[in-house]
Amino acid sequence: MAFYGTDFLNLFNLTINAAYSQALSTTKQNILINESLVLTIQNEYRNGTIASYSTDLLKGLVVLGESNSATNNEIDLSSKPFSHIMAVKTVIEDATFRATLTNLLVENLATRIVLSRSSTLRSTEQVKLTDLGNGFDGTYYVKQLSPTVYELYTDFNLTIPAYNGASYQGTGTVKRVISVYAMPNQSQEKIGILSNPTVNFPNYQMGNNKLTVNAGGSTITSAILDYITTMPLDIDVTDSTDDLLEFYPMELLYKVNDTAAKRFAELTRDNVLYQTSTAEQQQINR
Amino acid sequence: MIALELIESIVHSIKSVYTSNLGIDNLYVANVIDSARESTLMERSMSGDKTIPAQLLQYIDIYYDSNIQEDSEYTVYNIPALAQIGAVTAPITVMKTKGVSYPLYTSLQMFESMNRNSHITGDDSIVLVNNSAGNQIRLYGERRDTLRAQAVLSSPMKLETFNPLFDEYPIVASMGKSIELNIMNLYMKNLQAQAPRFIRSEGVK
Repeated sequence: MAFYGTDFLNLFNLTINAAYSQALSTTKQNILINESLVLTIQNEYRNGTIASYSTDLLKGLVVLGESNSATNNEIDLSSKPFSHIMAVKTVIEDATFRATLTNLLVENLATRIVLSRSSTLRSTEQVKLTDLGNGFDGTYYVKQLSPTVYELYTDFNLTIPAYNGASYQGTGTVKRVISVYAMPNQSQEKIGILSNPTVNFPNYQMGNNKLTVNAGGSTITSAILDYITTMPLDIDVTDSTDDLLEFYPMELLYKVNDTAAKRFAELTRDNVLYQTSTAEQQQINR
Repeated sequence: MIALELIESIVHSIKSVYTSNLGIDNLYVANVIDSARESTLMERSMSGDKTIPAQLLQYIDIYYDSNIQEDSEYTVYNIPALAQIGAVTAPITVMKTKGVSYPLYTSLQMFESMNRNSHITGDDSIVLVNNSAGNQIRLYGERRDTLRAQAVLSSPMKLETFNPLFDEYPIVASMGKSIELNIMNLYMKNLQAQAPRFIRSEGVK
C-alpha cells in the first residue's frame, strides 16, 4: 500500500467536511499540513514516554540523547539536520566548587578521596580527577561517606568500585561535574537579576547556528540534545508519486490529519469541528 | 522536602493559576525562594511562633582565611548572611567545645560593655559584624582554623554546601503555602508591570 499527498488531502477533506474542501488553496493546505506535522511530532515527544520514541512512530524524525561537546559553552548546530530543539541536558564543571584534594585512600579494592572542606558533592554525582600522576585520572561517580570523604565508582548505581591500586602521589585536582537540564533563556529575562542562571539551574539560548549554555560562570563541557530533525519529505497535497509511508508511519499521518483538522477549525472558527478533532486526538492518544 | 521538588511544585502551582507562563520557571523560583522564605519566617515569628525548629537550621563550616585578617586582637571569619527573625537576637550558634557554644554579641558596643566584666563573661566571645566586606564574625580569644555553627540563614540556596538537587530546603511544613503565596504575589506584580498601562492623555500603552 502506498499513501501519497493526494491521498492525504482526501483524508483531510473527509475529516473537515466536504463543504469546507474548497476553503483553502493548495499552497495554504500544504502550509497547514506541514505545520501540523511538526506540531504532532512535538506533541508526541512531549506526551510520550521514552519507550515510544524508539518505536516506529517517530523513528528518524526525532534525535534523542545526542551528546555534543561544547567549546566556550557553545555547541555548533550548523552541520546538524536540525529543525527544532526539545530538551538540553548539560554537563557542567562546577566553578563554585572550592574543595581541593587532600588525600587518595586505596584499600580493599576501593578508592576514596578526601577533600579539604565540606561541599555540595553528593552521592551519584561525578568528580573529575586530573594530574594525579598515578594513572588514575578520570571522571567517576561518588558515594558520600562523610562530609569530606567519598568512595569512587565507575557506574551511576554505585556497584562497580573504581580501583587501580595506585597510591596517592601528593598531587591532583578535583572538580565536581553535574548533569542538569537547561531551560530556554527568554530575552526579556536576560537583564533581570532574578533570572540569572546558576550552576544548578542553567539556561540556554540559540542564535547564529549555535546553542549557548549559561551556568553562572561554570564551564559547560558537553550537552545532550533532543531535537526534531528537518522533515525528510514535505507533504504536498498535489503529489501522487512520493509515498509518504516511506518516511512517516500511517498512525503518525492520522494524528497529523487530526492536528490539521483542529488547526483548520481554529482558522475557520468552527467550534463543532474543533471539539470533534480535539476529541479525536485524545481518543487516538489513549 | 528536597529544594528542587519544592521549587518544581511551586512552578506547577503558579502555572496552573496564571494563563501567561512567561518568566516563571525553576530558575526564577530558585532565585526568589530565599527571600520568600525570609518573609515567611518573619510572618511566622510576628504571629507568635518564636521557636526555631531544627528543620530551619543549616550546618555551616567556617574556615580561617589569613587574607581577611585585620587586627591581632581578634580573628575575622566570613559567614553567610543570617535571616532576620523577629524577637530572636541572632539565629546562630557557634560551637566552642563539645556541648559549649561561644557567647555571642550582636554589636561591638554590647561586647565592649560586657567585656569590662570579663570575670563574669569569660574570655572567648564572638561578635557579629556586618561591614563593607560582607557578613563577618570576630572571634575574641584563641584562633581556630575551623569553626562549626548552626544558623538560620537568609539565603539557604547560596550556602556553599547546599545542593538543591539533593538537600532538604530548610523550612517547616507549615511555611510551604506561605512561601508559595509570596512568590505568586511577586510574580503577579511582575505581570502587572508588563501589562498595558492607561494614561488619560495618551490612551493605552
